[in-house]
Amino acid sequence: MNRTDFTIHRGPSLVLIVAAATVTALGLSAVYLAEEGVPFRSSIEFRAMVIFTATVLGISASFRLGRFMGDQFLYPVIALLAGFGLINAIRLQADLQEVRGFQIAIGERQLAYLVVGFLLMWAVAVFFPDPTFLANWRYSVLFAGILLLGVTAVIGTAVNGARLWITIGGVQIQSAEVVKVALVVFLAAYLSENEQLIGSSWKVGWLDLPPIPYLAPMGVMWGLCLVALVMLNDLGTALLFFLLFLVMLYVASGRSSYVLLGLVAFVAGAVLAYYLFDRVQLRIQNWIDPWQHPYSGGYQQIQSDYAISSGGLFGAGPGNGQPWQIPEVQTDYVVAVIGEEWGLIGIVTLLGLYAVLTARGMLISMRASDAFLRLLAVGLTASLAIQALVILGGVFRLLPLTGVTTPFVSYGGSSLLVSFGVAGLLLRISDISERRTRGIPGV
Amino acid sequence: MSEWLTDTRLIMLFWAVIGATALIYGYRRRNRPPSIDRQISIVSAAIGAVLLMLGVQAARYAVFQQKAIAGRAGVDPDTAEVVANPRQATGDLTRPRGAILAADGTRIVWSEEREGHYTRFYGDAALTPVAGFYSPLLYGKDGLEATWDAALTGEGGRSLIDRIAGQVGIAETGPLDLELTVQSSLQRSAATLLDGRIGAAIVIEPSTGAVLAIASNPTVDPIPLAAVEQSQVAAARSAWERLLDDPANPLVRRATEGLYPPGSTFKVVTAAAGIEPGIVAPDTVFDDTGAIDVDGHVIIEANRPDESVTVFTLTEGFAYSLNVVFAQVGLQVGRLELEKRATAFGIGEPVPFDEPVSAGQIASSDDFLDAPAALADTAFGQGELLVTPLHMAVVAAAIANDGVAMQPQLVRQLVAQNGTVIDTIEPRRWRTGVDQQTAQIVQGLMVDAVEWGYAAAAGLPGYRVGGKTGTAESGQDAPHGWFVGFAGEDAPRVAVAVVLEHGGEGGGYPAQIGAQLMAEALSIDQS
Repeated sequence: MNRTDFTIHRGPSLVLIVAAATVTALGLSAVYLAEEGVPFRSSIEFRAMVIFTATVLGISASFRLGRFMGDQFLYPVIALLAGFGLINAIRLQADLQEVRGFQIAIGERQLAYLVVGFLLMWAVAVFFPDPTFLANWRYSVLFAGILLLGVTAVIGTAVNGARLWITIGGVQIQSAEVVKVALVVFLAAYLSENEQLIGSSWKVGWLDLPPIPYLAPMGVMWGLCLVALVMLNDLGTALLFFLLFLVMLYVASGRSSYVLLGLVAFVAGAVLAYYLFDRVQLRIQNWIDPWQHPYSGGYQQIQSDYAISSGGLFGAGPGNGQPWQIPEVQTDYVVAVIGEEWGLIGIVTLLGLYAVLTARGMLISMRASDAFLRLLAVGLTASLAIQALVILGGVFRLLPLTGVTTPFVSYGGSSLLVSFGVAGLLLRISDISERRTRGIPGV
Repeated sequence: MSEWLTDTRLIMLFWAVIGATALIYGYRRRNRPPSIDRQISIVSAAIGAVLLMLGVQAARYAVFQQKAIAGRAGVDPDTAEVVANPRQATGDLTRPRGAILAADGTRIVWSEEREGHYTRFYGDAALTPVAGFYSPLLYGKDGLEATWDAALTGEGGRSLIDRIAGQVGIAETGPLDLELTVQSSLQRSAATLLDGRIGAAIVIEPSTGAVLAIASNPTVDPIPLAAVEQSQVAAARSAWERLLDDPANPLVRRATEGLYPPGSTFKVVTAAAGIEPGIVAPDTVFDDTGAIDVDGHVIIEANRPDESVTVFTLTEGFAYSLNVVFAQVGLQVGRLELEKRATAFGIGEPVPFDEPVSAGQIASSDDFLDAPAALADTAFGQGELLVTPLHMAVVAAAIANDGVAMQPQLVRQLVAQNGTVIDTIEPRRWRTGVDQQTAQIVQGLMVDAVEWGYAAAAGLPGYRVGGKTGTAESGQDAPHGWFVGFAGEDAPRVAVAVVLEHGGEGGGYPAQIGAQLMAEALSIDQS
């Protein structure tokens, strides 16, 4: 197969990037038109339009000029997701300030985060050294991650009861986001190193048990997730970490029995948590039937249901809905905003974008040149995909709602920067693989 | 979507689909040697399956069950706050809405546009409770505002042909006004007569079921609840709090939702149950020596006009409201006939009406009436019987209408803004309570009760008036006073039911209220 046309950064990708920028610009115009107020030239919508278009096209141009050879679908998909997020944040800014008394101009901030995020992605994709060296640092990375979690659990700042934030010099960082990446790096290194142990499982009765070197980190992981659950008071992070671990373990070992065992262990842990912690109990109750307590626990879910159903097939149009009715809409329920204002078509587009993102990430993994890079790419892709599934599953009630962010779309600095960093790494890996395959020296 | 497919089951189903997808996908690749590529494709398939299920769920929200989900509303059991879709409130504020008018044309409630949104305006405060409250921002709609919402907004209420004609611009499409059967003067009198008391009064035209007046007290003042701006929300909330805290519980519309034992007014049903199958007749005699022992349950007679008399006819037992006589009637009639008759009059089920009606009950359990003592108590209106005033108004109207219970009706016409009558709701037969001959015999019993019995306070010179009083025991408190009756020049033209909570003897004030409302109803020129 002649891969040249698909991998060298050329025509198709430029078309896709222009399309992403155009959709974003049109959405921003619609938001501007739905509001009354300042002249267009001095509006935030206009500023966002210019800055966003310049950033994404600038990076696209840089990729092309720098003869970047990485995946060319990933970047446009991320640009469009980020565009949706930007429209949402700008669209919510005025309403949240007015109705909910928000002090923060989330639209302005999201625009700044996005620019920094895109630049970070670009820098990682172009300048990051060959990530293979990370494998040698696996234990340092793991311990740094555990340390960060521990520090957060002790001195972290609690937001809505969950202790997820650490404040350094006035800047709040969601430490779990960083730990997530550390975890992927460690697991990729550990699992690829012990690849040959795959065949050496031992049996207890009919049960196919993993070899001890697998069982050990599995136990550690299970423990970590429980710690995350109890100390950080956050179900979403626990679920995300554990699913991520299971996916990587399965990909490395090919044993579905490990996944089953892991799921059973997690369900057992969750059942235990259900009986131990009222907070978990409430979450589950509000998931099964939010109408038990429609004005307290179920309120958020019900308001989100209203928003999505009111959007119908085509939506009310950007800027024409009432998404501020949903508490925490800017982080937990961005998909409800899209549902209300862009309709089912918008939601399906979003789901499609995540599907393409997953597919491209997995393809990057399949094409990667060595086991570590492959597992790293799988883990990075899965971290984005699973996070999207966990929060979207929460909004659409396939899962209890957990407060993780919607990758690239939710408002929030740490989560955006980490997601962009992950995307940058994926691009870097694909670039390296392509150069290795074709014998072209790296940057 | 079918009933059993609840949200929870649907979630289970989705996960089953996702699990099955991963299993099948994995199974088809079982023979391939484990390789990272194989595992990656299986993981991708699982992620894809979850995304697909999310899409299906989104489609359910946004398209297939869109109306049900967007329109769902409920009350929080802890805070009593109403939760409803705020977007519909916005729609309600920006859409014109029809008026509600009394039969004589008096405007009860109407909408006017003020500063970009439509606000409800109310006329005479004595009439507003008929419409129900309208609180688009907070507490939703109530009463006629709720049941006739589609017609009031203009979304419904028209025939398909009219709607299609409206779509192409050759017919009017706007909101519809509701023209009621209620007479404003009579409604005002009913409100005035109930003032200061807790209870209800209903006046019905027996031949059509038209409700000429329906009043409950206490009432809900809709004006503070009709907040249309954020600045009015706080006041509306405190008004709602006061309603919730009010020990008299004004949110229960007594006329249709208040449940009371019917007391002796139920003797109308017992008499009909005995007369129709020929078990008793007006001249059947019963012993009443001041008490009767039914299986060890002693029923004391407090109503005999002369304690030296111990034998009474059914007519006398009815006129003097003798419990011992009706206990015997009940025992002779038997459980099956009594239940059959009560059910025929609609007792124990919600009467179809323009407002929600409580069902009430004949007994709380199937075997209650198997005990003779319980049957005897039920026969004179105690036992476990519970009825709304509307139920008893329907019983009185059915007797007055020669046994046929017409469906009570509050809305007569839907009228477009240009004055065109879009729909006229025809009177509808609901039930045959009892055959014509029995109904006329029971009418006679009721007329006797007014002419020389305990319902004498209901008498109206120049009219033939029938009635039955009731004094319903309610635990330790003072009893509830009841009156049901009918009146006309010769054939009955109006029927009435009145209840006053803890209002003492039914033959006192309740009978007077009933008589006065009937007199006024009869004097209204039926043009």
